Parts: sequence; structure tokens; C-alpha cells
Amino acid sequence: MNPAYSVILFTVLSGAGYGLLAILGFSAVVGLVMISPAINLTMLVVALVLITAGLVSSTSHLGRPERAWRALSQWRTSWLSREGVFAVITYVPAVLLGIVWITEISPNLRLFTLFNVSSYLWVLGGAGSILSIATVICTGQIYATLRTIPAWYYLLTTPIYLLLSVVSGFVIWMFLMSLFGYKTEPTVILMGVFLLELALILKWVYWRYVDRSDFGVTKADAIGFASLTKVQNLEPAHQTKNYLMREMGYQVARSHSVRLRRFASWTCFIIPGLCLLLMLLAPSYQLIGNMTAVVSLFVGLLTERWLFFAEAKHVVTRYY
Amino acid sequence: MTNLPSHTEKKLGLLIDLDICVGCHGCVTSCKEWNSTDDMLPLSDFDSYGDNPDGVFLNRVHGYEIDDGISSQTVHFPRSCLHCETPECVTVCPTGASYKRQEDGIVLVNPDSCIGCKLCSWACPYGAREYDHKQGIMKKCTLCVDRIYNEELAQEERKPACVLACPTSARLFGDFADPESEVSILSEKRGGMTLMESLDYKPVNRYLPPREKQSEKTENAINTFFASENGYVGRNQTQANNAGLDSFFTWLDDKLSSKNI
Repeated sequence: MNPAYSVILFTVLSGAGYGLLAILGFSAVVGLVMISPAINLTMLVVALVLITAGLVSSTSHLGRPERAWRALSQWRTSWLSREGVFAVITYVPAVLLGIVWITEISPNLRLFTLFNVSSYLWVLGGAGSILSIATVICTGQIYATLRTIPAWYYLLTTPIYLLLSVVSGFVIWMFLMSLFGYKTEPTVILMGVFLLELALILKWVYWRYVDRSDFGVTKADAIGFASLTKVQNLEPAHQTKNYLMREMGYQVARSHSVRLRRFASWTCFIIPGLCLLLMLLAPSYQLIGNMTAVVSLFVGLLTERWLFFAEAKHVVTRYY
Repeated sequence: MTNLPSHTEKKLGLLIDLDICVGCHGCVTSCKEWNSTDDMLPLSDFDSYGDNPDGVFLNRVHGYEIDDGISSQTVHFPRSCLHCETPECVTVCPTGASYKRQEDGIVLVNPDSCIGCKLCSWACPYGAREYDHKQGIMKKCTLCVDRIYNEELAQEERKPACVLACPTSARLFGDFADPESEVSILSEKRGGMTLMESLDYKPVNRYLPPREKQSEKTENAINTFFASENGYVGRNQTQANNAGLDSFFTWLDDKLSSKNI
């Protein structure tokens, strides 16, 4: 499949944003690290900027971006529509959380005078968390339900999308904590390392699956003949590449994909994991270690996502 | 609405006879012509006369060499929307622009609400949907819905453009839900084939397989006959074996073809 940059950017940026919002919401529910409203607000803004940047990028993939609102209507059957609906609804608790924290910073603003919203913080946090996760699950399901693309029609496609979203949100969350001068708890750091390496394992399982995956239909099946009939191309249907060949017939050389998988494994999972361990061993390097982890993770995620598209083969290529 | 109708009253579709399709691409051009000039938005073209022409087509003819282990043959294979009974191109559509009509089963795209997300083309295994870069929307075969019900046309013209254009009548249009229709009867009689049946999109269109060719035995008999009549055993040995008038013509043929005249 053609690796469209708008979609790669969307899934990586919004994924990280929703991951961060999910963690922030979760921390609001359990009241774990409610350090200060100012820091919470900053994190929320970072999450919303990531989410919004990704969503804006995704609309540039559309032929008619001005009609994007129509995509909210078919949630009964379409995962893409469901993703859109959840993406929009997620803004509601997120913005309310922001208002609560703004009110806490400057009580004179009195944004909520009728009732004390602060006592509903856990509801808003929980809603933000669940809706963020739901949005990412919908993103994964768009790909995981396409039977025409065996590389995506797979049990692990959605779990990996979700895990990578949470992991990237988690590493950013730790980085912002370090930035504000808070020392990250060793258990939290170890949790990050665990999630990163779990994602690495799942990704390797996924890549092994992709290497073995098959269309399940032959060229003969594609034109209606008995499966084992030998079918060779004789006359092309057209002499130059058409939409189908550009969009669905994208090919990446095997040697390239091996190298890029190795690069993605290091940058996305191993280096960030090592950086987090460095933070554990040498707390004075916490900030620089965490920053390196974030940068490396994003380089890795972009590579991983590029491969996710470029390596996926579409069954329509059987005709070509 | 992207919910599929539980039942369609008709199942309009095409029956394509691979035995008599000669791969002339007449259906391709007539489809392009009709769908670019009538009420519909035109199928865009780019760089039409340049080095890299590109454009939207709703119908394509591929040429394949088929070998079933006994004999091999050329098959011309026209590929267009199969108007599936369970088309996932419709259910994945986020806007409801894609829909399957309850009355006749035709799968259509509403050009006014399509956002050009291309997901339907990803969901289609048959490559039936193409993206129109100029208009930013998806295009697909409409089964010439603007012809088949068009009362301004004479009754015999109310057929898809590709069907009317086919010089060998390899394309038939009809209702597969009606067991008495021409397409149903022919499909039943000659073993109409479904494409990628295992994917379970339940295509409506059917393809008639090439008729069984002369058996090896008959072919051998014919070869033997011609061998004894003409002494023909292959071009390289013609001079040695031929006699009389045949050898004169062979000699003439060789002389003429060896000189650059």
C-alpha cells in the first residue's frame, strides 16, 4: 500500500496525543500524580496539540477535506466513521478538564459557578481516558478489518496500534514530568521499559506474520478459473501506471524492509528502553535521557508506520 | 446509508463470455466515453497526449495466458465492478456516499457527499474503484444507471454502454435474481464463474469460461493430415522434403524472404 505521509503523521501524532490524554485522564481518576494544575494543563495542551495536528494532517489525505464532517454519519458500519465520532467526542471531557485546571490556577475566573466541577474530576478523567483509547482502537480496526490486505487483517494489528499509542504517550508524559523537575519513580520507569519491550516483541511477531501471510487467492481465483490453473500476464490492461497500481501496488524491496525493520526496532523500542534504564541508573541524566527517548521513539514510530503501509500487499495486485 | 439492504428486488449485473471476448477494448472506450459526456461528472484525464498519460477508467481489459496443464490459451479478461451482494466498499464508507440500491442491487457513489478518503478502494478486492484526482472523489461503474432506465432512449439502447459496444456480444446485461433471464440461463448452462469466491463478497457479475477446445486427439489427427498433404514438418526442413509445386513455392518464399526487397 502507498505509504501516504498524511496518514503516517496522523496515526503517529494523534496516537501519541491520545496515549498522553489517556494517561493524564487515568492519573486524574486515581488521583495519583495530581502535582499541580499548571503542569496538568500543560500536559493536556500538549496532548490536544498532538491530537489536533494529527487530525488536521489526516484531512489532507482527503480529496474533499471541506466535506470531512460528513464522515461522522456512518458509525453503524464504518470504523473510519466511528474513529471520527470518538475523535470529536474526546474533545469534550478534554476541554472540560482544561477548564477545571484553569479554574484551579486562577479561581477568579469562575468558569463554573453553578456547581463544583472539580469534584467530578475523576469522571472527566475517566471519560477522556476511555474515549482516547476507543479512538485509537477504531483507528486500528479500520486496518484490521480489511480482508483485502492480509498484512493488516490480523489479530495483533489493533493491539499494536493501541500499545504504541499508549507507549508513546507514556514516554512523553515522563518527559514532561522530568521537564518540570519531578523525579520519575523507578517503578514508573520500569513500567515504561516493560511496555516498550512488550511492543517490540509484538511487532516482531507481527513482522514474522507479514512475511508468511498470503492472499489465500491465486491469480487464477482472481479471474474465476480453478485455483491451480497457471495464469501469466500477456497483454497489460494499460501501459502506464494507474491509480490502483500507485495506491495498492506499492512495493518495497525485501533488503530495504529488513534494514528498516532493524532501524525501527532500535529507534522505536531498544534505544528508548535503554534511555529509560539510564534514567534509572543515573537520575542526574533524567532529562537528557528522557528527551533522547522521545526523539528516538518518534523517529522509530514514523519508520514503523511507513513500513506498516509499504509492506502491506493488496489482493488487487493479483490482476497485475 | 452504508447499511446493506438485506435483500434486493433485482440483481442487475453483467455476464461476460471469456470464450468470445477478443480483447478489443471497445467496452473500455465506450464506457469512458459515455461516463465522461453525459450527466455524470467526467472521468478525468491527465497528460492525455504526453509521455505519461493517466486517467480514470471504470472498466479495463487484461490479457492473460492460461495453462491448465493440458493446453494453454489466451484469455481476454474485462474487469469492472461486480456489484457484489455484500460489498465492503459500501460498509467501510464513512459518509454514506457509497450505497447499494435495494431496487436493483447497483452499487453507486454519490459524488456530492464523497470525501475522497479512498477507503472503499482499499476494501475492494477487484480494483473496481478509482480515485479522480481532479474532482477529489471516487468513481466506479454505475452499470450505466443513466442509460438502463432512460426513457429518452429506444428500448434496445437501454443497456450499459459497454454491452452495446461489444462487437462480439461477449457482454450480456440482465437480472441474475430472475432465473428465467438470459444471463441466469446462460450462466447456469455454461458454468458461470465467480471471482475470488473465497473472499465472500458475493459478486453478482459472472464470467463464462472459454469453451473446451478440440481434444489433443483431434489436434493430432489434423496435424498428421496436414503433414501428409503438404509434407510440412517444419520450416527448417522444408527444402529437403518438399516436392513439385510445393517445393517451388517454398523455394520462392525462401528467396523472397531472404532478400531485402
